[in-house]
Amino acid sequence: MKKVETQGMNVSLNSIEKRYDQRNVLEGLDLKIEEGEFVAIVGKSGCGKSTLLRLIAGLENSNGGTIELDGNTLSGLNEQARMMFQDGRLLPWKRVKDNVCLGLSSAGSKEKAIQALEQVGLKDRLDDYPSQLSGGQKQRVALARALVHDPSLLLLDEPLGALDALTRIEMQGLIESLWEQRKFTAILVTHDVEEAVAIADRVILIDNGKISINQPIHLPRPRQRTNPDFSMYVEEILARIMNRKSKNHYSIVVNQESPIIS
Amino acid sequence: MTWRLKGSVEKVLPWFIPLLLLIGWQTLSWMGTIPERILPAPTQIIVAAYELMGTGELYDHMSISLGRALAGFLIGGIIGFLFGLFNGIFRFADLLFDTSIQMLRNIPHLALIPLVILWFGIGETSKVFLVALGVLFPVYINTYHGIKSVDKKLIEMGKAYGLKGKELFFHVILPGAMSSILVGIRFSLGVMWLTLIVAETISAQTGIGYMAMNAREFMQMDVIVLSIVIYALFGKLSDVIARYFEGKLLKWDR
Ligand SMILES: Nc1ncnc2c1ncn2[C@@H]1O[C@H](COP(=O)(O)OP(=O)(O)O)[C@@H](O)[C@H]1O
Ligand SMILES: [Mg+2]
Repeated sequence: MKKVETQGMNVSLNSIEKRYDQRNVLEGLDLKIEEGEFVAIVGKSGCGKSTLLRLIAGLENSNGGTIELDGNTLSGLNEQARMMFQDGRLLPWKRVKDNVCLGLSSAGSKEKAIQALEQVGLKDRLDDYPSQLSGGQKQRVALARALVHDPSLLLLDEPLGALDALTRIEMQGLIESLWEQRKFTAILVTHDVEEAVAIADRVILIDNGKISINQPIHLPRPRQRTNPDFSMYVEEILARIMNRKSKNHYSIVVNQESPIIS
Repeated sequence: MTWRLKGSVEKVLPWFIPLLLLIGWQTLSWMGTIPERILPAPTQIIVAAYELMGTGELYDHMSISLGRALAGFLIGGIIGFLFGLFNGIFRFADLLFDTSIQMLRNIPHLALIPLVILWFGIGETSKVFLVALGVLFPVYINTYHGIKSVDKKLIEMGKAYGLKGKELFFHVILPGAMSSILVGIRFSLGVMWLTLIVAETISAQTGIGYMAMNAREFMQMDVIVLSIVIYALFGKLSDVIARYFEGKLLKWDR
C-alpha cells in the first residue's frame, strides 16, 4: 500500500479567548497558518501554548472567537488533526503496534501501523510494551501513532522536551523529513528557541494571551546551526522572550506584518 | 553484598522452615511432648482425612463450602464491580449511590449474623448472603477508586484520537483501572473465606465449618485441625489463582 500524499490544512484563529476560573489565558489571539506550513510556538511556561493546541484539536471550547479550518468553523473534535504530547501518553498496557493502531478502524490497520513504525525506524519493536522502550523510542512510537492517521494538521506539544540533546536533534530531523514528505500543516510548541528556528517556517511568541512576535525564518533547509544568521534569529527571539534589548542592531518589530529580519 | 543463589536453591529455601516445623511437630507428638488432646500429629490428621474421604463426607462438606464461597463471591463481586463501574464513570450514579454505599460499608457485615439468621434461617441463603455482602465492598471501593484515578491525560489522549464511549472504556479506562480492581478482588477473596468460616462455624448443618464444630462435640481433634488445614489450603489456592490472573492481565506492568 502506497502512502497517499497528505494535504495540509489552513488554520485561522480569530480573536480567540480562553479563561479558566476568571483567569484569562488567551485574550483575543489572532493567527493564520497556511496549508503545509510549519509553525513553532514559543513562550513562557503557563502562557497558554498547550491550551491553544487543545483548542485547535477541539478538545476544549474557547470562551470567544472562532477557529476556521480550511474555511470551516471548528465545532467539536478536530478529526483531521492529531496531537503528540510531551509525555508521549502511550497506553502502557498495549504493545507498540496496538498503541499505533489506536483509533484506526480495523481494516488494514495492522499494515498501516507497521508501515508507520517503519518510517520512524522502530519496525523491530512491534511487540514490545512501552515500558521496554527508551524515552526517544517512546516518542517515535507516539509520532507513528499520530502519523498513521494521515493527519492534515499535526499538533506537537513539546514532544521532545524530555529528551536528551542528541536524541532531540535526531527527532527534529525525523519530524522535519516526514513533514517534507507528507506536506501536512504542523504546529510545534517548544521551549527550545533553537529547535523552533531549526525546524519552523515561522516562529510565534505568545505573551499576555496574544501573539507578540510572528517571525518568519528565512533560512534554507536543511538548516545549519553554525550559520551566523541562525544564531541571530535565536538570539533575537530569546531577547524578546526575556523582554531585554538584544545586543544586535536588529530588533524584531511587534507588528505581525513586517518583521525586521527578512 | 548480595548472595547469588542457584535457581533450585531459590525454589526450595522458602519451604525449609515450614518443613522443619512439620518435622518438629511430628517428632514432638511421637515423643508425647505434645499431648494428643491438645494437638494431634500430622500423620493422624492425614489418617483422619483419608477416613473422611472414604465415607465421602469430606468431599460433600468441601464441595458445599466451595459452592457457597463461589456463589457469594460472584454475586457480591459482580454487584460491587458494577456499582464501582457506574459510580466511577457516571456522575449521576456517583451522586445517587456513593454516599449510601459508603454508609453501609461501615457496618461490619459479620455483626449482621443474628439478623441474617432470623431473616433467612441457617440455610444456604444466609451464608451466601453474608459472603456476598462481605465481598461487595472491597470490590466496589477498589473498582470505583481505580476508575476515578485513571490518568486524565490518557483519557484526553484517547479522546484526541477519536475514541469515545465503549472504545474509550475498553481501551483506556478499564485497563487503567485493572490493577486496582484486582487488588480489590484479592482482598475480597480473603474476606470471602473469613466470612464463610465464621458463618459456617456459628450456624450450619453442612460445610467445613460445620464439620469442625461437629468434631468439637466429640472431641475429634484430628478433624478440627483438618478443617483448619482445608480452609488454609482453600485460601492459598484462591490466592494462587488470583496471582495467576494478575500476572496475565498486568503483564505490561513490569
Ligand atoms: N484545565 C485547566 N484548568 C484550570 N487552569 C488551567 C487548565 N489548563 C491550563 N490552565 C492554566 O492555564 C494557563 C496556561 O496553561 P498551559 O496552556 O498549559 O500553558 P503552557 O503550555 O504554555 O505552559 C496556566 O496558568 C494553567 O495553570
Ligand atoms: Mg504546555
